Amino acid sequence: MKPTICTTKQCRSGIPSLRCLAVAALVFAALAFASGAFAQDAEGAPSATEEGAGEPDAGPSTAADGEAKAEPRAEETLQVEAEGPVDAAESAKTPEELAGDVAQQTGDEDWDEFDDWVEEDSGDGGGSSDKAWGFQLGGFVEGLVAPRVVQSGASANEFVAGEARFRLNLDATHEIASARFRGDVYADAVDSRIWFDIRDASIFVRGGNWFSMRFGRQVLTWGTGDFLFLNDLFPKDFNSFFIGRADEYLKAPSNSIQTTFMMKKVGLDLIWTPIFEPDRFINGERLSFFNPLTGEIQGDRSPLSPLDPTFPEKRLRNGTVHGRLYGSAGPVELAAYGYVGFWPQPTALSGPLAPPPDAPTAAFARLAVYGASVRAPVGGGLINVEGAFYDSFDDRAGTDPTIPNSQFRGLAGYERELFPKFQMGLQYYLEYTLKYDELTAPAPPGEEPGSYWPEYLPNRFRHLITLRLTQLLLMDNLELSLFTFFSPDELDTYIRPRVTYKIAEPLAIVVGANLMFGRYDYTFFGQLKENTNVYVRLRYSF
Amino acid sequence: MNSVTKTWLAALAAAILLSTPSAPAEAGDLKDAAAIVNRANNAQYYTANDGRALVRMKIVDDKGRSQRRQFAVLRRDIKDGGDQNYLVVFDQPADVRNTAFLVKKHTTKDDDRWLYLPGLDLVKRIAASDERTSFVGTHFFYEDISGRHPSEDKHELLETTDSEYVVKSTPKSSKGIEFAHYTVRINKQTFLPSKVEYVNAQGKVYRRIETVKVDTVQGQPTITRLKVSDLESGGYTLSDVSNVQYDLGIPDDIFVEGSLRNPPQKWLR
Repeated sequence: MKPTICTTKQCRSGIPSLRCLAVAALVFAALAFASGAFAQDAEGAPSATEEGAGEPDAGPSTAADGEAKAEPRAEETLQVEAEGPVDAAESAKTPEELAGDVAQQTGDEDWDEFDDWVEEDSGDGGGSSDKAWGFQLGGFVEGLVAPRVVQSGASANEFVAGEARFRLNLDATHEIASARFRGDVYADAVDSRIWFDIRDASIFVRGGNWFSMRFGRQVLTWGTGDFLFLNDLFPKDFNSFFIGRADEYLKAPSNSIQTTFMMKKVGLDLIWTPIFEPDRFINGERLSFFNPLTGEIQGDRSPLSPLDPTFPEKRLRNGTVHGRLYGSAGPVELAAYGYVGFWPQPTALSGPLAPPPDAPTAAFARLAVYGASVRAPVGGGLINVEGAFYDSFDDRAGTDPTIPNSQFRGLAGYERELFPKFQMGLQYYLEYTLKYDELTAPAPPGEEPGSYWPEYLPNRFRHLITLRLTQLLLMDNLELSLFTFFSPDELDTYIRPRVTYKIAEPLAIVVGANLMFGRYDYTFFGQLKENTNVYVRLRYSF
Repeated sequence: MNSVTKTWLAALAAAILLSTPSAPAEAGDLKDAAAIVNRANNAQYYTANDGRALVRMKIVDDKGRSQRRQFAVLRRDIKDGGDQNYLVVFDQPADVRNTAFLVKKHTTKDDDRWLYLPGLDLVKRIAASDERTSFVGTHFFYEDISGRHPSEDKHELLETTDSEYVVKSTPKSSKGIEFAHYTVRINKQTFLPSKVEYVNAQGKVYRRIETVKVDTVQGQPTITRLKVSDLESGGYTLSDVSNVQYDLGIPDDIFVEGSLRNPPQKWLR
């Protein structure tokens, strides 16, 4: 297990709230300052180039002003522009017809920016074609604050997130190989510490058109669901998902080797993660959850937090293997998936119930998953259907209370644009637990029951409906988004409203909420209701 | 030289002449508006069999605030005037770097489109969307980038000047169309449009696309600078195309999902 999320025990009530505010205030002040500077820059010099601020402005120049420009490059371009597309046609009439009037209307300095742009690129090797290797550097600085907006008896901390994050992206690309680095360092006021989280440190190698390989730390995804993962057993970070971090943080990295074989229109991906990488699951420290052993919602006030499961031994035979075979028939995409490894969440117990010191801990049961998916355009939209069989093969009989039962999971979705820039996505998801009678049957005298907590189990059929609505406004600079999960049988819901606004080019603000409701404490989203929060996130990209 | 070889050479010469839009073999002015528009469509969107370019856009809104877009494009034609494959890899703005689009353009049905989100490592298939909405936040529409199929409009030749054809195009169906008609000025030599003006129901020109610069690349006249103006808001977008290369022999098998995750540097650089 990587020392990444919530493995520290330093989190104590009271003080973090103040730290949260302090960290947030600092970040926001810095970003607000940056935003002000940008807004001024943009408004103060509408047509001047950012780089050319020091140069004497050539004004609304015409062709004759060419000499006024210091750089011979710009001069050349101006002349070419003024003369128009001489090469385009030998005819003398065309150039003026084509370009003349436009060049006059559009200030020439407007176009000069593109020349500066080219020079910038050659500086960092961006789009340079004569170099063997291309390098790119980027990243962002981000502040996030997310206070709880409901009373929580389980968690003392009033904040689910308060952090200042720095992300560095490095890329080195070559025709047949590339290297990638994505690393985060963030000051986390909820945990009162600084985290280093490497999300990607991998090397990609291409062997002709039919083979490629990526090895190292990487984030992996596949499947057709939208925030619902059936055949994607790669690690997720559910803490990030519920506290307002960017969507990308729902996916956690793993140290893996990915090989891809392409044969005409069929591809095969094989991924091996030598050491099992579980989800970054909710452990009570940052977010509270329902503990079926105690029958209570468990947060940071509980001495049992953070949940500390027993992990599989770090041996190669405990690695995980993920496979996908995919191809298309016309516009229809088909895929088959396979997985051998563990349940990604600690849903099992390390042993039968017993009083301390023999009390069991949470643990990871072995799991294999087989599934398939179809995706195709239908009626101006897209339809997707996916199914997966979760084979909990250490307890196929369903009688061992320490191991979850096998399940069938199915998904059907449809998405389309209803109006210009207004997208809708609808999904229906079903979870069917096998050997359900064995789970719920009363224990025979002297024997173990099928489950230690039959009253808290999901129904034999668990249904879930999701709805996504997205509207883009103001030339795509403003995005209104709503994603809702609702389970008609568990009577719980999770609503994710979000507004994203690009203030000035590198600066964006996101305001949103994570609203969890449920009639019962033990259902999937209902157990999270005390974590309901609103958040503000400000990001400066570079 | 035997006669078979001669025939071959003649056929080859004919093929070259026919495939060059600026073939100077014009006997006179064309009279058929539809034929002119078809040739213009081929000259602008189907140059050579494949191509690569680096596109930079500067978006200026009504308040003078500007934004940038930069992306590399690979294109391969399946059939001239017909289906095409595109791979678009973004470099700017920084927050969308390495985001990529794969588009399989169809002329008789909706395009197939995929979007790659690098943070999630997610290849997302995207539903067909309105072609007449902003392309990645610019004043260009998707349709301006990939071309509006000539058969969607009725064309009428308004005027033939010394150097240009002026064609008025009226949509056959007004569904999802914000213009009443548009007029295109098409260069007689290159068959490239020099100006397109969109007219609304009130008869007012509210949107204009102008060709600012044409270069000849590998003998092919190519628009390298365009300006699109929203005349109502006063905002505009400038587009600059560089590093253009044609007929690289880009294979069809790079237009696949794997190329979104790991763009084919061999063709992009």
